Amino acid sequence: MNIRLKKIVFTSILTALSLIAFMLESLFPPLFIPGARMGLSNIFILITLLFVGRSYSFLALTVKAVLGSLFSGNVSAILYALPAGLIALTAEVIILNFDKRFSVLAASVMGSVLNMTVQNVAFCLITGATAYLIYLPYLSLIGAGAGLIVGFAVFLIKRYLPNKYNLTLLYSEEKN
Amino acid sequence: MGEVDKKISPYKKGDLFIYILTAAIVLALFLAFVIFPGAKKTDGIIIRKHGKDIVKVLFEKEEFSFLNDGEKFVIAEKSSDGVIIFTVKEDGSHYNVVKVDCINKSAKVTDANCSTSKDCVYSPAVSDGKGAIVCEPHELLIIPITGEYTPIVIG
Repeated sequence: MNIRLKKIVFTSILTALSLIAFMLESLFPPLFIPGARMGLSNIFILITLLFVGRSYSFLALTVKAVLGSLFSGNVSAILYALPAGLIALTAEVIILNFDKRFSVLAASVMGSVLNMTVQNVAFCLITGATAYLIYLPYLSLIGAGAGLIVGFAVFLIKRYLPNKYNLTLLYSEEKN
Repeated sequence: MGEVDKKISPYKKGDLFIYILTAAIVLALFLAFVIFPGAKKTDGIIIRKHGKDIVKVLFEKEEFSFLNDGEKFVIAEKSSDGVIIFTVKEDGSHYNVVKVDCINKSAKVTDANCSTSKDCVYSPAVSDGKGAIVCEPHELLIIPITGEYTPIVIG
């Protein structure tokens, strides 16, 4: 199987897992504040980033945000969930670009805080409910905690999953 | 390629910078939105549907009024203990139940059939002039009236 096809297959599987995690999480009440979630689906997006590649992780995130909003019955959520997710993932990509200095945990924490913050601000702008900004500090705090948990899960997967599944490694070796 | 990379660490030197930056962001947000604004005097609440104010409740007088043909969407039940229950219905199936407590000056969504997560039902009550409840799938908004009320009419 060529590397490109392998990457597409891996991305599809990880996107499906991410969507399942998103749907399961949406069945539970939010964490203390409306809109606050653990963001377990981001585990699979981060794994896509680390094991498959940057462009594939953006693709996985977009598909997850669009289908997740459709399946959960809140179509307009695309308007704020997608931009927030893209900004958070961009921040994670930038941080992990310096992977000798920063760990995946730190990238996940920053990504999660940014995701919650941008999502809340975009939501307030779209709905006109500026009073909703009162939840912004709580959401960012919950985001930091959730980011730590998600980041630690990704760290464990990266540590214990054999390197043969790391397509970014495989690709660079084939190029050499 | 079958081996695992056990050398990687959950902490790297630069992480401290990210954690300090995150803590600073969270602290700044708490100062800006929670600590400095404080509690505000709340005169009542507004229920807004599809961008139009449809119900206005005044806590002091324990009374409500329909705006912009709000009576077409809303069924109101008033009890003697200062509690008013509003059932906001649309298309015969979409609904949100809003409980307004005029004595404690608060409002909360107690039931709805919107999305799977029902964020509006789990939202904290609107009180002390703070917060808002949004049911996005049903385009319903509950906001406090603090100061002079200016009705919003669209269309």
